[in-house]
Amino acid sequence: MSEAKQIDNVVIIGGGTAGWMSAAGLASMLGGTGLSITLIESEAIGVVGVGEATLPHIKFFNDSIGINEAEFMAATSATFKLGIEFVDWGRLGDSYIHPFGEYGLSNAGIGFHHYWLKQKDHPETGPLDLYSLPIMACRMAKFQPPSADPRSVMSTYRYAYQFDALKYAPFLRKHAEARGVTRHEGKVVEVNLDPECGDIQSVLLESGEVIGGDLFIDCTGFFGLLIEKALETGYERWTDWLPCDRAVAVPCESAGPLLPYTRATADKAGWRWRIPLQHRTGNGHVYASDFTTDAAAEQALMENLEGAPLADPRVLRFVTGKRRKLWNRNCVAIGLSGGFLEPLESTSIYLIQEGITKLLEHFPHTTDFSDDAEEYNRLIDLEFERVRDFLILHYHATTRADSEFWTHMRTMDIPASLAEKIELFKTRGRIVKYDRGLFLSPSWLAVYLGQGVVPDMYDNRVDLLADDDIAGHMQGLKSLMHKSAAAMSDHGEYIVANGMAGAA
Amino acid sequence: MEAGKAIRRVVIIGQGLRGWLPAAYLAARFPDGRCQINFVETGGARTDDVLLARPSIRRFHQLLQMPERALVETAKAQLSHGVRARAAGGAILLPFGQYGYDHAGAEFQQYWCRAFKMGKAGGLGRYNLAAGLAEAGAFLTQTPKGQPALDFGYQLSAAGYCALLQAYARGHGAVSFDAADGFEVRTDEGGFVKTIHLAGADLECDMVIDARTEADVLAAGETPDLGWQGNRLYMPSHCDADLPGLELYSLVEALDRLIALWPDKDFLACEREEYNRLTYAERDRVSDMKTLLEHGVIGVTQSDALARKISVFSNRGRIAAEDHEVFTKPEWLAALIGCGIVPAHYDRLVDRMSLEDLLRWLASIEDGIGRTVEQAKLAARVV
Ligand SMILES: Cc1cc2nc3c(=O)[nH]c(=O)nc-3n(C[C@H](O)[C@H](O)[C@H](O)COP(=O)(O)OP(=O)(O)OC[C@H]3O[C@@H](n4cnc5c(N)ncnc54)[C@H](O)[C@@H]3O)c2cc1C
Repeated sequence: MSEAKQIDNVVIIGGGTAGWMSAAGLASMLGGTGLSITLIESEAIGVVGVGEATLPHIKFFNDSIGINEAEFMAATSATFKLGIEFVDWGRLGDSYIHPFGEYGLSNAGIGFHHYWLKQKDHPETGPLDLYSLPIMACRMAKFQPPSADPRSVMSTYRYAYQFDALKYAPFLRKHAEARGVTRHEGKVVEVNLDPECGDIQSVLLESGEVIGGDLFIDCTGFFGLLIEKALETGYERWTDWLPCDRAVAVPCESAGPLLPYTRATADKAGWRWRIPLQHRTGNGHVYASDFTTDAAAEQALMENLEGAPLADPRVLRFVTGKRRKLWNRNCVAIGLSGGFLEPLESTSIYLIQEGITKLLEHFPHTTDFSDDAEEYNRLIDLEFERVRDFLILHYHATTRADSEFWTHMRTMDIPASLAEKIELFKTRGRIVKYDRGLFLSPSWLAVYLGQGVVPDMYDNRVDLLADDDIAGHMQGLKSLMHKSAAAMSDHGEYIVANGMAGAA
Repeated sequence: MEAGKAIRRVVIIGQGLRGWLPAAYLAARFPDGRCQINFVETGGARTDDVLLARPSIRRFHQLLQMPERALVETAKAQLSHGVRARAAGGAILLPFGQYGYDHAGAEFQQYWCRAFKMGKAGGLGRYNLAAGLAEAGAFLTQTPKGQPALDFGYQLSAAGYCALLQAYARGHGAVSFDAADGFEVRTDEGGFVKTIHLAGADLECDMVIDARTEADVLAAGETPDLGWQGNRLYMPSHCDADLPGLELYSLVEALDRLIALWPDKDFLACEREEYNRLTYAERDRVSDMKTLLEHGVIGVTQSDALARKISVFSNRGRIAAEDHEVFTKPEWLAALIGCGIVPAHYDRLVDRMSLEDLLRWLASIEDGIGRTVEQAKLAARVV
């Protein structure tokens, strides 16, 4: 590398969710340090425009860059989200919710689910769902922000949003521009590399304008214009484990109460999403083209809409996996340019956020940043891999044999690390712990039990408590959850009453 | 649950504290006597008289409902706010508490680093209340309002602490057997331990906890092991005068792991494997710290994780934590700084604060800590 120089100019290419989140994040956190931030986007190319369901972390992102929640919700027609419902996954007819919160309360250091496992055949016990407040709220279409008081049962959950993917980036754009980000409209037609060191020097716009920078953030979506077309970083494919490679999406009119959760329904060769927004419902069908046709996939989507379609269905293609290096030379890929994991657990925007947070933490002073890049890549790779394993579990833990696709998924080889996790749960309900990684114990628990991985035994320390005491405690919890959920506001009414309803 | 499969007889082999600690732990976990704890006490005696207990010991004391007074009276407990480790270049204090405060997305040491590199801040230790207290020989059990978070462990008399645990274990049904004259481990064809044969008794067992030190195992002509094999689990034997606190820590952690994976007579391989995975991770993290303290930052083979810690810290002042760390971030910070590293760069986020504000902020933290330490010293004298 030639002589290290101070990083003064960051250039972001792409104005989708990833581009504007990066711009807003960088401007809010580093704007005051003399860093100039430029964003180039092309209306002619447009954005992917799907991606509406999120995870609770996004609230932290919005808060930390100073976004007002009610304004954000109104601007993006957003709804609240307390979990994801999975229908037909373990077997046809099943339904469970992966909640953003805890099950029951642990006791004497033993997870609540062990008590439940011991009691599950007792007629009064009922499904584990009855012991989760966010699940009960989902089932009743209720919402209330959680309490900050750790002694309250109302502190046992968190929430995320479901929003209009076409409106979030423009909302952030205003925010970012107010904090000094310069926007250029125009299509990048060429990427110029430094002939000596091979780093990116500048980009050439169709208009003939050349924009140079010290650090480039590739947010060009599936194009990967800088990270791949220019730098030829390479891609790691995970399609053997996650073979879905297409999606067809369509919005439709809403019907029924406004639900505070996303639904993922398993289909014959993939799964369908349903995301309730204030003014419409987002729908899509993610499928594996090796196992079905575009026409059949579209038909399955359209036949299952709850209301009249509001646009023509649109097909998107993707390859599951990630770039070999998310940060290569002086280019960091954030968003779809960096990799893609299907939206089954709403992780894409979370991964964008992690990309930004970790970039801020490792933000280089000079162009001599190979150590920063190496550490950044190690941390982001870990995030991707842990999400990947969790997604594979959804497909693998099933008894479905009603299509070639499900037979394939049920019987395929899975990563060894995941096989070990499943075995440990299957035998005695133990959940492998890591310090880092997105999904914590309740998430694994929800999917295991929801998809029929039921432990052969519970933790036998539970036997130290008398059965009657456990049963009494569980009855108390169950009615507490029920009462607390019932006392929450109606989800739709809460949005209107708190000035969060959009004009649309 | 099939009642016949439950573990009902555990035999612990070891000496003094190393045996009585697991005995007390298990006695507390199985209070109704449905699991008999027998302790086969081998010969030999401890040579050290003072033990350091890291802050995590307090969870163990909670489990035993150990009264603070008993700790003070019998085990001569004194609060401790850090580990005094011996390193290649002299002593390094690894504090049980935070350095300053993280602020606006950046960790405290990043702010410090900016000022330090300009010659406008003193050593990082001045911004750590735990370190301040430890240096002054003063103590606090609670973080005073508006001060960097503080934790504490104990200095204990080894003999007194052992006596406490022994009394507890005995009081909860554990029985000890003298094996100073030797014992014999009898296994079945599968290598599972069935009985421990003593001069006066044959102890049948479902599970064996081998708590002897590595040296004792070697002296008995056996091969030491770190993990769990068959129905025999070796307690870790991290014990190092240069880095106190690990012995008690690793015993309690091993028992926590065991209890979280408590088996029955089927002894599933996946339970052992998970226990061993965590055990080896602990060993590796401990050995990283030891290597760093013993050899400094260069001139010795380092694990990938340690090499990464050193390079990430040298570059950016960040602690590249692994899964299952033993030492906290402040301890790693102290160790890396103590080995003479000054990070080449600090986080750019820090530049958002004007230099004037930064120096004022640092001075106020240093000041607050100084005053708190003085007060704690005075209070100690009054008591
Ligand atoms: C089927 C599907 C469903 C999804 N569902 C979810 C979900 O529920 N939850 C979730 O979190 N995520 C979801 N995602 C992911 C989510 O949509 C994306 O992570 C998010 O939209 C970010 O996309 P992006 O900004 O990286 O790329 P894009 O939206 O594609 O934006 C690319 C930008 O780059 C610009 N650009 C490209 N080439 C050039 C050029 N040559 N010159 C100038 N500008 C250029 C474009 O104009 C555009 O502004 C889903 C994705 C898919 C495909």
